[in-house]
Amino acid sequence: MSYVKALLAMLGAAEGRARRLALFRHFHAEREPLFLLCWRPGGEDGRAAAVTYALGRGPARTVVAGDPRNWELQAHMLHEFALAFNPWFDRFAALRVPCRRTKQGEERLVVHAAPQVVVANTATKKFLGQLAQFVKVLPPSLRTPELDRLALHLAFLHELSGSKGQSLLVVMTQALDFHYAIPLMAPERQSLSVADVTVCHDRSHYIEALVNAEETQFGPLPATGWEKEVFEVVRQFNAARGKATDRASVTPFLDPIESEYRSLSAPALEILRESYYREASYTAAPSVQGRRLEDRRRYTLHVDWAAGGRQRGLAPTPWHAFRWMRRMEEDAAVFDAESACDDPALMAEHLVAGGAFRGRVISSDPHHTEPGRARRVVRPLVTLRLDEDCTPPPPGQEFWLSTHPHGKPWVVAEVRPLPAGGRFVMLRLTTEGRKLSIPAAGECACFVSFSADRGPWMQLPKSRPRAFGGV
Amino acid sequence: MYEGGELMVRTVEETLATAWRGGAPSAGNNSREVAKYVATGRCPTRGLCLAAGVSTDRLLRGTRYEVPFGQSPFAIQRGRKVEEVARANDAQAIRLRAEAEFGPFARWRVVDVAALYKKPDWEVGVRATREALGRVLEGDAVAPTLIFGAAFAYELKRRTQHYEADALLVTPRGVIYVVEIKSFPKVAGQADGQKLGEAMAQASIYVLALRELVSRLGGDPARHVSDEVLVFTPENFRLRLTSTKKDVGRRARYTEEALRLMPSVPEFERAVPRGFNFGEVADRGREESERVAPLERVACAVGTTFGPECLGNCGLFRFCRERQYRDRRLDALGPEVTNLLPGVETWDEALEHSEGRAQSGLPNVRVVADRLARARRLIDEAHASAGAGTRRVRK
Repeated sequence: MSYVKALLAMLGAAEGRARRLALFRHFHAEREPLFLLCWRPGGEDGRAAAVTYALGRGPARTVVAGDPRNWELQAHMLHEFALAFNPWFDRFAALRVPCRRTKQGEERLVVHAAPQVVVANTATKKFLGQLAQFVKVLPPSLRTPELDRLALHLAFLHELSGSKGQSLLVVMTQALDFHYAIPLMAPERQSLSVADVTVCHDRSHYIEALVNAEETQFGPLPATGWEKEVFEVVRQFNAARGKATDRASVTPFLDPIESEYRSLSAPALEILRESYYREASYTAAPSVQGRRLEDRRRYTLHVDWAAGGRQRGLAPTPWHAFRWMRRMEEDAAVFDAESACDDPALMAEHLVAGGAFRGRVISSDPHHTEPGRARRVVRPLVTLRLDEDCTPPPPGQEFWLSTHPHGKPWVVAEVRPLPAGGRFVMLRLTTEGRKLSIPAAGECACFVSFSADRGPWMQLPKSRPRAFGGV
Repeated sequence: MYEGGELMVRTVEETLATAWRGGAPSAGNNSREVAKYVATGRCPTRGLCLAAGVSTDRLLRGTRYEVPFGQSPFAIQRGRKVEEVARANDAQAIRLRAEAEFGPFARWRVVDVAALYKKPDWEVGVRATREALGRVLEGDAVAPTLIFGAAFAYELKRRTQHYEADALLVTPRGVIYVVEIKSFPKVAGQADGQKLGEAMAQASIYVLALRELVSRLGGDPARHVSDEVLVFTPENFRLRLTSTKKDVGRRARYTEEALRLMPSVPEFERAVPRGFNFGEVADRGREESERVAPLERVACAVGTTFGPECLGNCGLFRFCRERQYRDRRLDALGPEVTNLLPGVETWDEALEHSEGRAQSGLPNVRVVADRLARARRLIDEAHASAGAGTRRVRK
């Protein structure tokens, strides 16, 4: 945690309401995302007892399995959910727009819009991955094309959710944790209602509202007390259905169970929606658009890959795991860089930590030349007077302008104390910088030690290395 | 304690602990309670509850501090089913995995100690476990290779705690492994990290108890007791068992150290207010304020620690949380904040530093104060410069 966030958390604790950290919204918000709540029975990982979903502010729908411990009942319930989910998820693939041209002049198309699923907490996100794995181990007699497609989509969402900055699967507790300095401990912040009540409550201090907020459940695991009641209802359902497992036969007996889960989901869904739309009303940071384009690109790749009828195994291959890890790390670095450069409040964290510095430009020479290898080359120079409480950067370290954290870096050429106090820093751009707007004398400039560029894609060698069994 | 089959005279510690417990609900003195105590960072008040054998989950029932607890009936049923699978056909499932791990077993003899007795009458189970392990250490031809429900009488600060391990496995080389049978699945070779960690924490306590027993029987714990445990779980959502072998040596050392540092009953006696007993706290016939007052007194006298590990491991979480907020202590905000601000106890003190109103002679506190002051200036500046650009826009 940064000092800025810690300070805001302490202010929130003192004032009785969480303080907002980020000035902007750093995730894309759709007008009508799919809100999703999943419930599973205790001790049964990967089994969905019920799924409640709602599109935007539309009516909620709850699908229950009856007894998810029975594989047939579970498969039929997931099939019914897939019949609703798959068409919604796939429909975005229909409309495509030009995105870019390849070096060979080929036009690449990307979907015009991408789906967005909103869940309450990281446990639900993890559960979606388990659900995808469960479908993969179903016997062939229970698997349907709709189920296979559902598993592909859920696995895709679960895998992508590890990428910071993506907005295909929004986890509201993570979103709140990023945008606010919530004055609670990490395990407490896992409950959406608890995190949300520190932001929005009608008491004098959030601590007075915490106990009531903790009563609301978001799944996937309900409270033990509630489960004890539903255990009896499930027992009655099993007695009523006998040996029947087909959906048509068991549906008449599902009402009591559906009613239980509907009542359980209603308050949670309301809080999930209110929290989302409250955050969506904030102005989006400029970089959100670029990341949403990346979401659309990845979604396009996914649906095109899924259209080939391919399946993923239960565990990722080493190559897949490597690519995924690489992508997550890069996404995280790019997101941190972009969000800090967009948002002065987030930049404050880096200024305090020494990852960025700023000052007023004393002199600026965009046409400064110096000897190159064969001829003189243009290397712009900027000298600025460092803000008093900024940590002076070490000579030779690379920085980027916060207004343009891309491309070739600036290098710190010299750091010298000024006679009247303070320090001046001279930076040299390591390229000509024709397209770059060089800060002029008298302007404030901020330099950051991170870039928002994605690095070159790492390729694995064509042949397996000896250390991994090759020759 | 059980020596030579005779029940020893009740110790002074046990008498005192029983007095402290009063009419409060009992925790049962099982390994889970010890694991929870270790997990809460050796909180003295939690330790007092452990010493007195009090269930913190049930202590504050009926008050606003009550926390939900208990096990799901679905989870209990699944656990029973997994156990049935493990025990079926002379524990064939365990034998197959054990042979894959340790090589073929020349003989396979299963003893079910749990079937011999009914809790809380531990004496029979503890004796049966001692006899079985005694034969193992002697290299007896009819010694068991798998002992279900092995019972231990573990001495903790001169008080006897009873634990029941799921099973003990004796390999062909005569090394004894603690076996845990759990119902969470291992999918694609990966088990849930948190649940596996909890299983290992529990198993590490059994390893300590087993070492003590082997030592008492004249064996060499370093040679006969493995630091590794076998956790049997269903594979890929089905009921076919697979195993995970994990080294709990470091965890066992940590647990042993934590238990060694746990105050003894006489040490608690010096701090606990005279006449205190948990029965007053648990008494639902009394007003909430009357119930909580003695707990507050003993918490002040004995001390508490507060951290994220308390949630889920201690039924006094809400009670302690309210105390933290009442005293405006930084611990309420978690170690992410307290680790950043060493030497600063309350958020009022930290905020005074950020405003430059507090002076401290400690160098680390001065550094913290400078950074907080800088953070304050920057955040105020950021919010002032933001203006209308970030104001909420109704969609």
